[in-house]
Formats: sequence, C-alpha cells, structure tokens
Amino acid sequence: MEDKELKELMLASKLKASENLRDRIIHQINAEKALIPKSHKVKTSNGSYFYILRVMYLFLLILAAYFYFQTDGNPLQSQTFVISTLFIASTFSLYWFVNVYVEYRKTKV
Amino acid sequence: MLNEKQIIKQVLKGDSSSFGFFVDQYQDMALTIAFRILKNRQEAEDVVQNAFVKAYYNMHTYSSKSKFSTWFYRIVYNTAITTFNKIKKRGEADYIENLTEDSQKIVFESNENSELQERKESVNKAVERLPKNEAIVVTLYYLEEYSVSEIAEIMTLTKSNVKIILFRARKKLHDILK
Repeated sequence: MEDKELKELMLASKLKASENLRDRIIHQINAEKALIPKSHKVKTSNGSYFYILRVMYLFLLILAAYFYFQTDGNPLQSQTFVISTLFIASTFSLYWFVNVYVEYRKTKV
Repeated sequence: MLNEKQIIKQVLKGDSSSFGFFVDQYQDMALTIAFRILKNRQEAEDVVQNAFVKAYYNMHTYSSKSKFSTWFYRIVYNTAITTFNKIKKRGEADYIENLTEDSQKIVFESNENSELQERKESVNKAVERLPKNEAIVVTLYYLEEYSVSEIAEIMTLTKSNVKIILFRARKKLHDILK
C-alpha cells in the first residue's frame, strides 16, 4: 500500500468534536477568568520607578544645596560637585534600569 | 482576516472570544490525538477541554519559534498521557480492559462504494490496534503531514526514535491491511 493511499484512507479516522465542545471550552475559560480575584492581578511597578527617581532628585537637591552654601565660587565649576552628581545620577539610573528589566522579565515569563 | 500571530496578541490582551479561532481550528485533531491515547471519547473530550484551557492561560509561554499547532498538540499529548496514567493508577481495571470497545464510528459519505468504505474501516481498526505512541506518530505524520522533527517536539522524543516508531507502525499497518 502506497503512503498516499494510506493517507487518504486514514483521513476517515480523524474524529469530529461534538458541537458543544467549543462552548464548553470557552465557558470554562470565562468562568475561571471570573474566579480570579482582581487583587491577585499583577501590579505594575510604575510607582516604584518614580519613587527611585524622586529619591535621586532629592539627593541631587541636597547635594546642590550643600555645594551652594559651602563653595565660595560657582559650584558648577567644582570638580567634586560634578563627579558626585554624575555618581548619584548613574547609580540611581542603573538601579532604575535593573528594576525595569526585572519587571519586564516577570511579566514576560 | 487576522493571522495566528495577531490572534495570539489579542488573546494575550485578554480577549477570550478570539481564542475561539484556535478551538475551531484544532479541536478535531486534538480530539483524535487524545482518543488515540485514551481510547474513550468522553475522556478524550475532557482532555481536549483541559488542554485548551491550559493553552489559554499559558499562551504567554508560546514562542513563535515553532508552529502554534505543534505547541498546542504537545499540551494535548502531555495532558492525555497524564490522564491515562491517573486512570491507570486509580486502578480502573474495567476502563483499561474495555479500552478498545469504545471504537470510533466513522461516518462515510453516501456516494462511496462499499469496498472503499471497508478499506477505510479496516485502516481505522488497524490504527486502533497499534500501540499508543505508534498510533500518534502515524496520525500526526499522515493526517497533519508533520515532519519527523515536529512529531519529536510534540512527543518529546528524539528524531531517530520517531523514525523507528514510524517505521514499525507502517510495517504493522501494511501487515494488518494485507
């Protein structure tokens, strides 16, 4: 018997699902969806992202105020101020980026 | 007309009605796969239902590297095997003994001649007499025209294993149908 012939004969062995199976499936999905409490839904962490930025700006503000009152000349010309600012900004940015990435991984898996 | 990828995106957004497309598309083949393992229509329908629900809630784990049908039939296959093992563990002796009794009824087209009908009937019975994994492999190979590697992916086997099973199944079918 040729493969082609076998294939044609086998087509009759494919089962046909009963008419109500589709409705049963969709009904179960909707019922289970309704049972999932809304509070259990994954919370997005947008709040914590802004919180990180708020803390960063607060640090920068304190730093700027400190240098403004402590430095006689223009604080922007102080190398320590520039390095400190860059250090704080890059540290917080890195922390923020890691948070965003972890959250992205969580929602993707 | 939306393609599968677009429908998957809609389902992921929470649109459960879009999932009906996949049910319409794959329920018959899923039922055939489950039936090949369980040899009981009612149990097979329950497995298909559970498999679709699992697929819906795990849609985010589907990666477009493989076909959606391959991913879904793998769920069906695993669910059916788990159900079969549970039934076996429960020791439902009657169920195991009567596995072949619930054979599927084939509806033939009225214009088909009786010889062709007989041949179809004998092929169907021959497939039912095959061991589970052989029946699944020939079903996927001939009915869905899946490649050996796709069948291997669904059944979590190596390609060479699938080739051996397919070879054995073909031989048995030819012997039975001689």
